[in-house]
Amino acid sequence: MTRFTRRTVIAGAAAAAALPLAGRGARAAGFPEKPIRTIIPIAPGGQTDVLARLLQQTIDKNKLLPQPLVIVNNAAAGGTAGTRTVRDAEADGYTIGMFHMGLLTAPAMGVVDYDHTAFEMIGQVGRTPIGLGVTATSRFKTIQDLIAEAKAKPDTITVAMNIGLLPHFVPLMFQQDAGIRLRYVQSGGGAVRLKSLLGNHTEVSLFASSEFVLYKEQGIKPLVMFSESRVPDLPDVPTAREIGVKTVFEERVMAFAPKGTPRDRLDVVAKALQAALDDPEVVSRLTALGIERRFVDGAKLRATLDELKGPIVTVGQEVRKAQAEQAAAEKKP
Amino acid sequence: MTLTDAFIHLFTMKAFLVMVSGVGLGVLVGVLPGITAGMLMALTLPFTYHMSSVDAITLLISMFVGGVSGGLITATLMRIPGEPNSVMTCLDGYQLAKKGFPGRALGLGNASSVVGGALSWLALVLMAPPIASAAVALGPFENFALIMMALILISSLSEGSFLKGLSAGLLGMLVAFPGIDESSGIMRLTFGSAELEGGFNSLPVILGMFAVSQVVADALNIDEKTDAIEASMNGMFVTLRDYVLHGWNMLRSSLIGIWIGILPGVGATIASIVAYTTARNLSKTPDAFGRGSEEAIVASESANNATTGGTLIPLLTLGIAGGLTDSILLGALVIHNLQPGPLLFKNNPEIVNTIFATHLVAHLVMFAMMTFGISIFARLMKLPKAFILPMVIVFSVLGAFALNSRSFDIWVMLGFGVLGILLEAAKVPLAPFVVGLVLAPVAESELRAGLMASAGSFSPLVERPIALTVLVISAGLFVWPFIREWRRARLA
Repeated sequence: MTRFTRRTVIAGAAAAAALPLAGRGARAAGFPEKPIRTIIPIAPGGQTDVLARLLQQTIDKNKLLPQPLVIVNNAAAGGTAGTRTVRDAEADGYTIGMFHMGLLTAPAMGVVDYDHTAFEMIGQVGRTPIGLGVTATSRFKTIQDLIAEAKAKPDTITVAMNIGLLPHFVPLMFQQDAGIRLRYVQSGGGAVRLKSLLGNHTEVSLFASSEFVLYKEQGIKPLVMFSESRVPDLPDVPTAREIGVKTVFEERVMAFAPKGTPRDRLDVVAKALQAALDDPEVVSRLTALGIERRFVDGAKLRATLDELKGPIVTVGQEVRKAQAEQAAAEKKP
Repeated sequence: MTLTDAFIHLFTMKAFLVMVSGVGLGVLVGVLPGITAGMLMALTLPFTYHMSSVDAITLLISMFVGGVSGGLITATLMRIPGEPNSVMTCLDGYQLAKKGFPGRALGLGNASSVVGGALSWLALVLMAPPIASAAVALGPFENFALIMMALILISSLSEGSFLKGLSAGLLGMLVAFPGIDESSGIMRLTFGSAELEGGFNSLPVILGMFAVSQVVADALNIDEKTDAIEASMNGMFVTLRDYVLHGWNMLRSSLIGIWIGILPGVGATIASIVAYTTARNLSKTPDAFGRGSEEAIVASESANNATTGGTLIPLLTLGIAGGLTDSILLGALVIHNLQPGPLLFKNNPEIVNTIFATHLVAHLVMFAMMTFGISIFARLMKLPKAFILPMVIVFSVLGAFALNSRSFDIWVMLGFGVLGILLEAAKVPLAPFVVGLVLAPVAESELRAGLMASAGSFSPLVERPIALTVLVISAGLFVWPFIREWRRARLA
């Protein structure tokens, strides 16, 4: 701990001292002079990791930056160790991070005391539509069936979730917006939730549009999607808005840097990422993965996250309140 | 590409070279303490982007197979697990080697590894879809019961004092507590330390307990002439008679390995501990365990290799990855635009068949390489320890750090090294510690998931037939050693 603090202080002091001396343009011209450490706060193999590595490869292959990105996976503590490393790194542009919406859900769960505002946003590199699904043999044929039963028998329909992440938060937002109550069961990543549904251990779960396409064969069908408009891959599935529930939410993969990283350096990285996203190979890969590859710049992304933060924080407070109540109830004799 | 084609393809020049280098590197990191097959595969992953999907999969599966096997050598010759899954081989392999039979110990371990791998291959190829659908039927309560069965088996593991074994197991569970609580998403027992939020990862803890403590013990006796493991390689080639003699043990331990491989998040280390304990409970000479028992080596080494086939079943049929190595395989598939699941079998049979063929042939290549390599590594034993011990520490530090790029993990390793020395001095067995450390979190998350689904009711544990059956078997296993003792006492 002390080491980090000391280093941050020194870095801050050095940056402050350097500012009036070096012209901004001069510093950007040389950037990057050494490889850029890119922290991925999840284990190798996940979708965010695959996307990050794809971009890194393309930047390298097409020489979009004079120096490579070097990927460092740090999956400890559900991703918080990784985001903390980025936050505490020197704000010189040589450390960046790429992560998903865990950046907002972790603070809402109370596991870290910083959110996206503790970073400079470089930009959004991918976006995935998400929605709720059930097995093909489920008694819920439509999302209205599910809402009706949940209203009649609150807290009985089981949701396979991945605690503290979108498969937990988005169903919670949906239940709030739809005025229902579901029962949440900790499960895990997409494949684990698939297994839970197939084995009839739980009934509903959140999946990405690409997962719905993939799992169709295994007997999973989407009931509702949380996009603004219908998802091209799933033209028959209504959006929440169409059925009168306001929930709109998507998974996003974002690149970010420590607070105070010079804007011109962020722009250099952003440009490279944006160019990598236009590479034909990346285009075909991302299409196959079901990731929308529209690049959103840092300022716009920041504004979107500011907007999304509200509902996430509210849901997080509900979760923590419920946990505290349960803990209190267990303490009573 | 049919399975036959996949086999033939493996024997083309390029594919064969890819496989041999994969197995070779895997065995090498297996031998090096601290560096695991998972790390090797994570480092290799970026290079596989530019390969064809078939080559990439061949390479990674070969490393996976080689890595599981190599740890046996270090475990037998130095009493240091080269890979966490060889902790049990340390106990008896080293003792047998010390008695002057290193060749025999390594030969048996190697033969058991290849048998375990081959049997798990059969399960993978012949029964993957039915096993996968059976696995889907297992919910949190069933998984919890299965893990309890493994936990209970271990209670009979404690050499000597039951109480000491139990305390070691509980201590292991305690060490598993700090960090993010997987079932509620909140931090527990982190005492406000950001480092502790990641918890104590089992790799640095196991490295500390088994490798660091052993290095210190060896260093203290550095002037003593090595117990002169006369590197007699006699008995390195296991005869048909041995296969018959140990056949039942190999089969049973392999089945245990396959079963544990299928369970999520448990892994090869626990498989070898469970197989070891089962072998000991069923053995006619349980007292020989821990003193260089051949049965022990056979059990441990068949089981850890058998997990390879077991793990691949949920990975290929459902896309579920239980550990680091599996998630890297999964990542490699995804990067090559291949999504595991029933569709993979239909749309990309060449990939499935490549995995099948590589899994088997890599085991055979591993067997040949180990047979050859054993005689080279055994010579290392004649080197003064002063040259070898620092290398062990260097690799352990590297391995602990490489896991999550955190220097905190190095301190964890060194700290648990000290604990390991203390526990050894107090004659507390270390295996139950590992079991507590690895299994408690899995048991906890399964049970709590079940309770979330049942709104806090425990009754599904006895209402669901599979869960109940497994619990009854566990109870039987728990009392069996006591019955056996009682019968012996009565006969005597």
